[in-house]
Amino acid sequence: MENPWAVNYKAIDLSSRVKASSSIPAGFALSKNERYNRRKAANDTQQKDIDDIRKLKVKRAYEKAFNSVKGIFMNVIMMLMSGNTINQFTIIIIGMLLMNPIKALKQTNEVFKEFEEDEEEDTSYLLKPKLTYIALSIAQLLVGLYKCSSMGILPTTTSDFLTFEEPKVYLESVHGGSVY
Amino acid sequence: MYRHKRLFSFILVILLVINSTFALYKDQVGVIDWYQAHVGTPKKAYFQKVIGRSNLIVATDHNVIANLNLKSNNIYWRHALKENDKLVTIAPLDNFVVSLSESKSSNIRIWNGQNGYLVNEYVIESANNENAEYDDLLIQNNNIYALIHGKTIVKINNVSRSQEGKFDLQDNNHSKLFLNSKTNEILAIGKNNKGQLIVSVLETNGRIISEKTVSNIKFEIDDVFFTGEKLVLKNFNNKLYTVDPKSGSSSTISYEDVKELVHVKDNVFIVKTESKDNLVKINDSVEELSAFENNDEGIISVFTNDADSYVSKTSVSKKESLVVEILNANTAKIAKAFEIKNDYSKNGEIVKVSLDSYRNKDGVVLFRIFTVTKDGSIHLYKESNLVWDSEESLTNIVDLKFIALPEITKDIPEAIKNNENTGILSQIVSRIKFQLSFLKKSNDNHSQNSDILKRDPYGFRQLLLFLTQKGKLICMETLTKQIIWTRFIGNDVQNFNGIKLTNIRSSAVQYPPLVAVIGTFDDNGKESSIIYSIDTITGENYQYTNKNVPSVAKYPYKVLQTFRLSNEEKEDKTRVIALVKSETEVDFYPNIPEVIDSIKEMEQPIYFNLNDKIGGNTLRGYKLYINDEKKPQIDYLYKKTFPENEVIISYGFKEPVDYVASLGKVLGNRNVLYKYLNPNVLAVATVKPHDVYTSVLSIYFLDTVKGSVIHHSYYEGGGESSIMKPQIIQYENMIVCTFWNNGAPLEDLDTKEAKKLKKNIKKGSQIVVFELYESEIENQKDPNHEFSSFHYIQPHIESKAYLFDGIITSIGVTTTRNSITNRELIVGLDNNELQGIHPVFINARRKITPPSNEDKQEGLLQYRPIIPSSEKSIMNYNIPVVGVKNIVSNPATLESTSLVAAYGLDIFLTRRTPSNDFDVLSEAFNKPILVITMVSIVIAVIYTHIKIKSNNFKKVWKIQPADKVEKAEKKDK
Repeated sequence: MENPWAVNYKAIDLSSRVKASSSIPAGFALSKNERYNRRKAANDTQQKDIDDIRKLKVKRAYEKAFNSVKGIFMNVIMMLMSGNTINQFTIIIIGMLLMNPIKALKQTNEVFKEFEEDEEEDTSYLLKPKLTYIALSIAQLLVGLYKCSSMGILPTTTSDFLTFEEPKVYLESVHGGSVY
Repeated sequence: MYRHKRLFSFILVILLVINSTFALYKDQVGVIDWYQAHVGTPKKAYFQKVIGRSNLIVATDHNVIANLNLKSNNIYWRHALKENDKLVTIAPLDNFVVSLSESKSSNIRIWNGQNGYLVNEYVIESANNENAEYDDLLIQNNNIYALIHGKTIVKINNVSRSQEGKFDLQDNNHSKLFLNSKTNEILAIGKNNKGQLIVSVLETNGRIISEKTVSNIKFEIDDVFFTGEKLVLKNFNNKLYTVDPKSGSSSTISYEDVKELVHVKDNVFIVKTESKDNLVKINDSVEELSAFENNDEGIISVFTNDADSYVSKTSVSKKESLVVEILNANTAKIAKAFEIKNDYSKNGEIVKVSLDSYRNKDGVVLFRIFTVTKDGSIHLYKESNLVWDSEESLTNIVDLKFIALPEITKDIPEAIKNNENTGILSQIVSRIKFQLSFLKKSNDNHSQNSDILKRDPYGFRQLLLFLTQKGKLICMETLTKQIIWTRFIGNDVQNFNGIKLTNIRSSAVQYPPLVAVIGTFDDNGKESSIIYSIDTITGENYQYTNKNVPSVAKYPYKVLQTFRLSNEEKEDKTRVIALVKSETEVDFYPNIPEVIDSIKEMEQPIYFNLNDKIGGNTLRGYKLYINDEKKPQIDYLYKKTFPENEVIISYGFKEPVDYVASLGKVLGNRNVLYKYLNPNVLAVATVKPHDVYTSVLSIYFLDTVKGSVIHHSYYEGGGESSIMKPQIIQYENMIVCTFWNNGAPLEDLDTKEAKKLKKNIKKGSQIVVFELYESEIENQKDPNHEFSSFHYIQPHIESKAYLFDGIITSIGVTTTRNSITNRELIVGLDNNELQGIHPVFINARRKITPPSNEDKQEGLLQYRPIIPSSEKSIMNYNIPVVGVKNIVSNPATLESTSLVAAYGLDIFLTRRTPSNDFDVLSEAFNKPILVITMVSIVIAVIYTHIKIKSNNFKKVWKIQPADKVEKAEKKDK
């Protein structure tokens, strides 16, 4: 179900909008010159409108990009609060901290799909917000990893690989002891 | 009235229900262990009437005085005196037992015969310790006369409970006391340094009447008796003499050669001659009263009380069934004769007999026979019936081995046995078939299969094989304490002296586990050695497939050292044992050419040590290899002699199973200190006397391949006390040493230095912990994959010393299957406790400063000098495990659990879980709830799945539920 209150930018019909702005009453005939001038002016405003909407879209896209990582500060606070011991709570937090950015990264294109235009192939104007979005998601992931490392569950130290080390081969072995 | 009746019957029913109950303490719950109390092999045993009932009182070679139950095999009471308080003799006094023991002082103790309570104790100090063993007790009415150190006679009145006198004799070679009841005089006799008889006569008030020396008789002090008037003695030439105690004049009695003289009562004796054993009266001549009918070799035992006196002769010529003949000494007639059975192959011959006579309710005279057999076990017979027997030989254990049981011991199909000849597939098929048949069988007759010795799933069921010093093998099961088999190999040879047990084959599906029993014996005056290969399931000699390998091998020399090699005999897969004859000669068992070849194939020579015994000061290293002539050759490598006045007092002990799970110690910052796991490190403790401190204890760690000293540390005041000897245990990279510290010298207390010393060196038990690491630097590791003692790697050693509140007599450590579980140190204490010390306390890395966060992460506590002891850490809760000498452990199949056996006088076996039962569900775990939850979840899932499916189906086909349809229809109308 679509939210009836949300504006779907993709669904906005530009052509109908131009029609709606037309102030020529029905049946009014324009001279050729006038018609030309009008069409030109109309074309100009249409082009201008398209640019405005694009700007708006980019702005909204940026907002979206920032929106997705707004939770980062809350996460940091939770992270600090939960401490470094391994328990159910911290495991859940870490799961959240790691899963959310990964999920977000996966959905990058889907998130920005609503700002794309149906016909146009060129989505280059969304590149910058996308990159911002990715960067922020990665930042969030790093926060999660930092939490992991402070909890000591990242296999970064010698002790983590101790189990896999081969025991030494002892060449000599001594028998006996005190005489009977 | 009816009501009352009901009330009464109700009360009656309640009374019937009331029963005494036994409860456990909280810390006993879930503890699975067993315990066996022993008294030791009796030195002296007699029957004593206490409050009208016969009691069997024994004094044993383990310093124990005990009252044994005559009806069943248990102990009414016992007192184990301290090791430094040597029990000399005991004597009956009315309802009391009087004991005389020698420590620094002579101690006379009076015990209540019924309950064993100490009634009185008299401590007699002596100026010197000369002739400490020349002690005797004499009881006259209510007076106790004690001969102490062959010189002093102490008189104690048991009514007034006071010491009435202490009289010194001139000579200190007296060793026996007699009472002349007619003249009320005390006779002290002895044998002086020249071998002459000395006789001193005293009045009971201590006045010395005479002290005489009788010169011309050569005799043994045990062959001197007093008839009430005269002394009768037998000399070395088996002639009889009488001696007048006052005049000292001696006269010969003409009689045939006397092999043995046994005193019965007054002037009645048993005289053993070549042909007969006669009951005789000895005055100035010998008057024969009667004789035993049986003329075989036998043991004489005497029972006397005020009314009766009986003499028994237990013939020992027949091994299995022995004839007991009893003579009434008063009437000189045979009172009874019966036969008793003795299992010769398990117990050996009878060496000691005590006789008891009692009357049953009808007034019929009955007899009891208490016997001690050669192996050290004790047996009580009621006439010809065995009442009980007890394995007191278990008090002289020289070695104990845990033996894992095979999984199945019967009916193994050929295809599994000969796995070399058949293909993998056929093996698998036969295996499955076999398992199925096994399943069928176990379903059919479950009870019949239960007696098969096989492994349980958790490995709690194992065999404990004990070897006693006299050569008795006792195999017990760990679960039930049941004795599976016993065997007395001390029968086969003279003076067998057990040395050790060696596992030569562990149990596998197709082979029973084998051990080699190694001992020395006396081969017609020549010290020799012997090896038995014994199947531990049955206790019989193992017959090798290779006929050239004997199951019993004798060697005409005393072995210096034996050890097990890693090589195997090919056919039976038994490990080879090397027997070191001398510093240049060695033998192998089995001694077949293939063994020599396999040793020759080994890349490395075999290194071995011949170290001095405790008390020496030299360690020697050798290497053994097979030379080009296919002969074993020994090369002398090194000799390490400690400084001249230092004496080796203890060697490090290692458990045979010592796996290491982790190669390093993980620190708080998750770095690693790599453990120094050189298996050839030997810890040696030496002690030397010191002018200021009593002694100084040194601990050396040596690499025994090359004989180099890795570490040396010394402890001022350290040493031993009479009841605490230093003990060292080595496991993983840890070395733990316990010793007694004599403390700082007490003189010159004024100086500042002395005060400081006094503060720093405390008197008491001390535990020093060492941890060996490859390097001091974290994460640094020796890059070589192979470790050789000839590489130069000096370990980094951390150590801490702790004080311990308790006298440690033995030390052990738990071992688990993979050593993932913490290792718990177990100490046996002088107060009959076994205490587990958690590894967190005996950590060498504990810091004096408050622990940092990293230290907390590592689990380090701040250093405190005292190791705390809590009641919970006492393994044996309220059971007194007396005289523990050794603590041995063996892993169970469960990683969390270690079987720990403590032995000495008593035997105690328990399971320890130092890191709790992490691999076992707790008792409180509710299995039904789990099952119910699981089942209900599964049902719920299935139900909702069906429901959703049908809902979806209805949605798709727009089928509305019946009631909604009805509503809709109504609306439509």
